Amino acid sequence: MKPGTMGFIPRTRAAMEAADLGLSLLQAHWRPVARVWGLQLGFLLALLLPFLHQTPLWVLAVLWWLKPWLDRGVLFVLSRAVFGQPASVWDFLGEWRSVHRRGLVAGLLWRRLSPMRSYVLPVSQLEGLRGAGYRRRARVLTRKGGGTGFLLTCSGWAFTLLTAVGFIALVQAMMPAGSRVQVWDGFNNPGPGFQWFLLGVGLLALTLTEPLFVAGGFGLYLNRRTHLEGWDLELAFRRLAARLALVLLLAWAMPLRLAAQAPVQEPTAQVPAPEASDDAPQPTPQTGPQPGPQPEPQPAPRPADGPLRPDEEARQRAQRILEQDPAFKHTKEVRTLSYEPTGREPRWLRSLLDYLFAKEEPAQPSKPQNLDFLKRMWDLLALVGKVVVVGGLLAFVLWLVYRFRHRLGLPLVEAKAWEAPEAVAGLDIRPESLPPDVPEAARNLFLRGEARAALALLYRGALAELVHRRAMEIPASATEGDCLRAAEGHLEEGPAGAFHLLTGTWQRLAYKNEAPTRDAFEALCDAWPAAFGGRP
Amino acid sequence: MTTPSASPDPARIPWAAEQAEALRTEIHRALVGQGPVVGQVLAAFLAGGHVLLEGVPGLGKTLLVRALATTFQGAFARIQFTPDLMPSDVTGHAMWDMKSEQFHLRRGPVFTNLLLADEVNRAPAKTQAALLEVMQEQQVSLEGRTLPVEAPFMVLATQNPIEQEGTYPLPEAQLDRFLLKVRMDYPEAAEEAALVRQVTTDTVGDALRVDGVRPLMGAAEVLELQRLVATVRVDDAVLDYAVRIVRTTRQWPGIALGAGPRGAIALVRTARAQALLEGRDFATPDDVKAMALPALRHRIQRSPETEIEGLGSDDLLLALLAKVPAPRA
Repeated sequence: MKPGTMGFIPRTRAAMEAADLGLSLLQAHWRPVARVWGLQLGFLLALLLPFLHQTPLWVLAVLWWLKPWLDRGVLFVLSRAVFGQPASVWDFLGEWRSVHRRGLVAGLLWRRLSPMRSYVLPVSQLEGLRGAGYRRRARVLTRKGGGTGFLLTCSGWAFTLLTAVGFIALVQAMMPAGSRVQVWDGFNNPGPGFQWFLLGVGLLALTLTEPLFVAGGFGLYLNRRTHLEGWDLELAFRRLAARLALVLLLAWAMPLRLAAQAPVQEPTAQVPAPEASDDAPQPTPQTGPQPGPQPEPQPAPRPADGPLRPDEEARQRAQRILEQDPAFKHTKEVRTLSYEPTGREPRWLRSLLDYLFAKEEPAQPSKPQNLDFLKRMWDLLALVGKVVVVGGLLAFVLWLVYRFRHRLGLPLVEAKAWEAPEAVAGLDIRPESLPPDVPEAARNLFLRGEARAALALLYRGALAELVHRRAMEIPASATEGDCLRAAEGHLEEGPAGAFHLLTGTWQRLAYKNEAPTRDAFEALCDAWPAAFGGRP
Repeated sequence: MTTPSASPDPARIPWAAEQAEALRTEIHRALVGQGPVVGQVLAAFLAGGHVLLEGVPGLGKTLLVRALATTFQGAFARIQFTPDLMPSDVTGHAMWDMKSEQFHLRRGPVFTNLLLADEVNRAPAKTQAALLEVMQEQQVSLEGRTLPVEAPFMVLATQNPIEQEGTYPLPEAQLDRFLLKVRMDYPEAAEEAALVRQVTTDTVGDALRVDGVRPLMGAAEVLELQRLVATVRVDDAVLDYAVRIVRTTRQWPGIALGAGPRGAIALVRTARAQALLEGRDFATPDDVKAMALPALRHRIQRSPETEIEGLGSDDLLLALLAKVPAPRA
């Protein structure tokens, strides 16, 4: 962190003023913050609404719980804006992993209700500290300004609530005079409409207050680091050094100019070179007038001596503190696989290894790679979406053609061809199982005393006629009554009457064991050919 | 069921069919439409069983029961089941008489011929169970004494299919005691118009009018009708068909618990009554099929996935009936 490049003037501020600094930062960079916030919120809503659209209040509750995740986007934009770096939505997507890599789970679980959430959020997100390191760092930070951080959290709650209540009151106030709609009554019996209204109000309140809360905490954080690390002092020193360098340059330039104008003197008049009192690399000044060309202008030489130059002991102490104090230095050892091409590997292996280890190559910045990856994912999603849309359209058109095929004059395709059963519950109704002359064969059976077989032959002959020649759909589960009802719609009056008589006679024989008289049977046989057309 | 005092004469079955048809006609004098419901209730009445009527309020359930009671000059009682109804309110209780210094039995409303248990699922299980004994045994145990209920005895319980809040669903054991569960639906448009015309003409208020119904027979004739129903012939093939239907409910996908043997018994009993109502002295598979829905719909339990799909018991039974082969002797 270089204080000179910061977009604010680092100086020690009171805690409240520091929080105000954060709000000013947000004010200056509200557009990118709003874009990233909108992206995150839209993403969450798209994720939640398909599952919880029937209970909008649950959506609000889940969003409230996921606020630390939303805060990370705001902090990302502000932290980059502080150093004048762009923080667009694409930058945010490019840094997606680094933004969410550290401390997100803790922030959503055991640190969710932390009273100084926004104050210490940068410790995990920007400094990447976890576990004991995080706790030590947070302790150091909150030693001062912790109370303001807590107040900020409380005021965040209060403002969110006030915004929501105020908006509801506004809607109620906007109701036309005489309207019977009482918005407050919705709390007594929250119907679906009122729940959606509350979700909208909640989203509005969150959107208006949450970035302020994060920005205030970030201001406190910046101020505390200015305190701890003396950013203001460093900046002052740097300015002083730059000013002194200018003075010295002038001081050096004057004698040189004079020397160029004066006649050549003996080198004995040389101004003694200052003895280097420290081991820092020092530009070697031109120590005397020299014949020949004008000396090259020197790049801002550091002062050779003076109060700004730390002595060796102080430097070493500072270095020690910087290296040993965990508040300033965080060392992390990372082991990773890398790949050095030998030139002998096959092309496919090379491309695979290049792909696998591409992110590890230090020469390539990570952001464009992430963006490439996102772009590839986006292209893939676009392709899938295109296929789905085109396929859906095609299917819709085909369905329309099928649905209205009768209007288009297309041949009607039967959904499923009716397959006549070979037997209806034990009665073989295949045409080939019937004798050539059914009534005659039945008569013979009846004369032999086999009334049941005779009547069964007549009945199944009639069924075969109905099923095979008249294409009636009689399933195996059809009772006699079902067959009769089905036949009523298909048969003319004569055959229908004959079938009715035949069915009644058959039922009495089958279920009452009451055989028909010979005359009745003969009547049935006589009516059979006309009604059922002889052999089917 | 009441034991017949003398063996019925099968030759009187045509007379019984006439009487049954006359009963149906008389009931329709008071109740317009609802033909299948009247037929099923009559079938249960003739088979000596009890009926659980399910339907939204205002379809004429009470009217049906009162009309039925009027046709045979029987006693009629109605109990409105409520959450605070006690078993003694149903069966009766002993009361201390200060004068005689003795306990006197006060008989409850179950001592009647036709009992309308309105909204039976509003009472807790204890009170519902008080009906169990009288439905099954046709007797009531009060203060250690067993009191028979006069025959014919029939319980018509109603329940509202929509309101489930604050109700106590009938336990399976009690559901099984009902011979039929009859669903009463809204009448057809023409029937509804005729009904409104009939109810509103020359009538003050919304009193139920059964004065057009004539008494046709006494309790003795009803008992004879019931005995004659028991003589209706049921061929082995028909009985086998009923048993096959019931057995299929036990393996049918979508049915978690199929009907027990009582289901097949109910099916055959009501098929007999249905045959008589059709004027026949023998039952056919058509009679069994016609009674399959009301006789089995309360004896099967749907599986959870079927409930989620929104399939009702009737849908399952209709699909099942379309697959069970009908007999051809």
